[in-house]
Amino acid sequence: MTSATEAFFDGLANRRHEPLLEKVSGCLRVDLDHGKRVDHWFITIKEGDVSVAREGGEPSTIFYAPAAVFEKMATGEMNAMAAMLRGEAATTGDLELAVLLQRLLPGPPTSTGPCRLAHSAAANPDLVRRGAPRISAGYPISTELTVDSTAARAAERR
Amino acid sequence: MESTVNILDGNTFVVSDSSGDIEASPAEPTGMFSYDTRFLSTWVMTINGDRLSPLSIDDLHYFQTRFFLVPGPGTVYSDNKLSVVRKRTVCEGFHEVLTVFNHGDEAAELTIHLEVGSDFADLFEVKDSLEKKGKYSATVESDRLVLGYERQTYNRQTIISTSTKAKLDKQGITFKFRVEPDGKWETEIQVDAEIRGLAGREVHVGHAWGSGRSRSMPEMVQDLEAWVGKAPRLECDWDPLKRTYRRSLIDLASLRFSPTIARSRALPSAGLPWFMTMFGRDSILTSLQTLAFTPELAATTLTVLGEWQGSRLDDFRDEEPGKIPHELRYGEMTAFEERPHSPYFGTADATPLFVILMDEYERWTGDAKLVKRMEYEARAALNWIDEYGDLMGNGYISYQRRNEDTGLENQCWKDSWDAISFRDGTLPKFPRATCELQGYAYDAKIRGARLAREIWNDPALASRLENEAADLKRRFNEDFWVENGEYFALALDGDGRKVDTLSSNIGHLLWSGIVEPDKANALARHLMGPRLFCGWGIRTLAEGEVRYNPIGYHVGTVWPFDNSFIAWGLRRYGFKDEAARVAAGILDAAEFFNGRLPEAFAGYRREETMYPVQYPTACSPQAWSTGAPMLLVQVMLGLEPVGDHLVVEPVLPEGIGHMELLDIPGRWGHLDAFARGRVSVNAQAGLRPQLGVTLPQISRH
Repeated sequence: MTSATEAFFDGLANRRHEPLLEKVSGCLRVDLDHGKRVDHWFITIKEGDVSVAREGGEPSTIFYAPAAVFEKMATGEMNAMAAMLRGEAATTGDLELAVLLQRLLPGPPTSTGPCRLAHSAAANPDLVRRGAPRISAGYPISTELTVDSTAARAAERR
Repeated sequence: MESTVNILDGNTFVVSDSSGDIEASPAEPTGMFSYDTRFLSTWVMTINGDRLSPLSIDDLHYFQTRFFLVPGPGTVYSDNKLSVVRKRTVCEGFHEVLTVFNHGDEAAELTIHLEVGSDFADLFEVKDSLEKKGKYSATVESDRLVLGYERQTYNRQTIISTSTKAKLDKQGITFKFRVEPDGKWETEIQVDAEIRGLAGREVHVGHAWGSGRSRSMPEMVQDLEAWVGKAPRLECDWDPLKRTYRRSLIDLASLRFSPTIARSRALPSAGLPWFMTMFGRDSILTSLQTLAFTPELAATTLTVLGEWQGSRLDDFRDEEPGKIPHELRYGEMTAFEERPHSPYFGTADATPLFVILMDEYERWTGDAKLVKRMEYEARAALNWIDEYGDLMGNGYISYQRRNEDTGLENQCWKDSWDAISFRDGTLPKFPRATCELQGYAYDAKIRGARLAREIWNDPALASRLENEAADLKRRFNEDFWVENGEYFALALDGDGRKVDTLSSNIGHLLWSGIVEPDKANALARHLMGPRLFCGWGIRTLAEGEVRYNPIGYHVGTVWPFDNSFIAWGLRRYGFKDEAARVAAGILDAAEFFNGRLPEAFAGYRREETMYPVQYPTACSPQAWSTGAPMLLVQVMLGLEPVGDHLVVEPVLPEGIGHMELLDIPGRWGHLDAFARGRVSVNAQAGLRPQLGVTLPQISRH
């Protein structure tokens, strides 16, 4: 079985280009502590072009976490920023890369999002007018924004 | 209550009494705070067992204070042979230079004791007096005292060290020394706040502007001088305005804050002391107010907020893709997810305001590069408006928190629980669509269309946004209009009912341009009428509404920031004299507050109190109050970028004879603006000419 951690890095490698990382270039090494060994993941970013490798040179940022902790982040159960403040994970070097990377982690799997409260409208059809049909304006849609598409799952639930 | 002295640098600040002592209690929020944590809650000095009393306090800079002290209670000054100077500088933790002078003709044997302690309270705990869940420690090392707090992996330390030899114990520091006649003794004490991460690693989460261990005092002084020197110079025949302007510039410097990723760039935080952090709404609105003066703040605000922009669904944090964050915190309760501020996204206005700021920033500075670089974030923000902001599917932005435990109920700028109510006082059902949100959405679409056409080269998106904006404007002017009162409803509730109260929010609608021209007159009449305009400014809620209270936080007080945007809106619809009157009232009030406008003041009628009554709040300076005089100057001068030019079309209020703003930065390079008023001020000694009211000492031409 593939772990969420591996799926996260595979997902990242497969995208090749990530608009959320377009502002930065650099190398971030993720150190995942298994107790007896430490796994390294090197994420190299060039203005949004992403590559993932298990070996690499000198990183500009190191993100460190016990493997079990990162696994929870990769499933969306744990928030990376709170974990850093708590001391369960740590970052050294250029923090910008770490902040941008944590945005690629999924949200909590239980999150539903602000599903349209159409029931409220249905209950009072005369009071709520329907707006003109809205067209997605060619913006990034939510599913493209997350590696593990929590948003898509939530959309299915709607 | 004893007077407190605040000094700060970035998000580290010290609140002490007038002797420089700190004795925190649930009721006394004093201490040294850093990253939303109190690192020092006790810091009390005695000399030979006596407490000290202040002779005077000298605020050297916003980050430095000097206390002149004598031993004893200070009620009756006995013939004191000793005096003590405590010079305190905040600069990553704080640094204190203690100097003892012996003015007597005999040598003095002295013992100075500093009692030291920390409760490591989270700012949220200080405000709500909550119990701590972790363990405390105090360790005496060879040359320093380490106070610690640990809860699971969470670890914070306060490290105290001295330049001269001292006896250290777990409760404090003791110096024993002798001072010769006419001699002096001096020592330096350093207090450092440290965040310890996993396995003792130091965690960097953010820092004050340009700070860091290498940042020295002279650099901070130089930086402040450069900051003030770089801003446009204001000349005016009404002196209080010059003082208010200078105070605002300095306060704005003190409010600069670099969250985690901004490197050496700074954005305005929301306010001292409780809001020294990144706030979506506050940082954006302050950046808008200061574009003609310090446009670099806007650039950082856009960049940093863009980098924290929501990317996923998270109910606890009210996060959605494309949403601009509300507030970022670093304290223990955020770390343990007892509060959602890592960051929290519960704001329905920051996202459209983000697009508005981006466009306005480009109009002033011509920095198309930034707009190009941030195209993705801007599109995601525009997408949020329809995809997530429109909760009801009715074409309006509404809000309803998903974090029902610790999330914000009202996610507009009037965020207190009772801010949004019907005329009869009842609270509307959620989701709530407040009117100004629709104005911001309209403006964001119009401005997004301009950026799409002129900078992103996407004419299809531009016309789509323009069509959506036109449709929104048409629907809004029908759906929100309160026919029998001739104003826009404060909100639509969850059932689509009009929340029919008269509020200052209608002024923001003028700023956004969503108001159809034939309705603008009625709005201006309301804004300047006796129910909303109190003589100093426009109240948040109109007199006569059931929940109106002149000292109610969002239900009757006057907010300088609110007024500055309303004045801008009045100007936009051609009400130049009205805009000048609002500016005059707020600037008059500023003089009573020594140039530093508070967050809010009471909405009593001006002729009732004759001076503005401050709302009791701990937050001062407040960023968007600090920015208000700047925006008001811009409005009075009628500054408006048009293409590569700066249009100047001044209308000054009574009481200002002339005003000039020199070296206004922008896409034109630097330009000067000159204005002449209709009256000149004959300022006689002791007589304060007030704007906005006609006094005998104002002579008409």
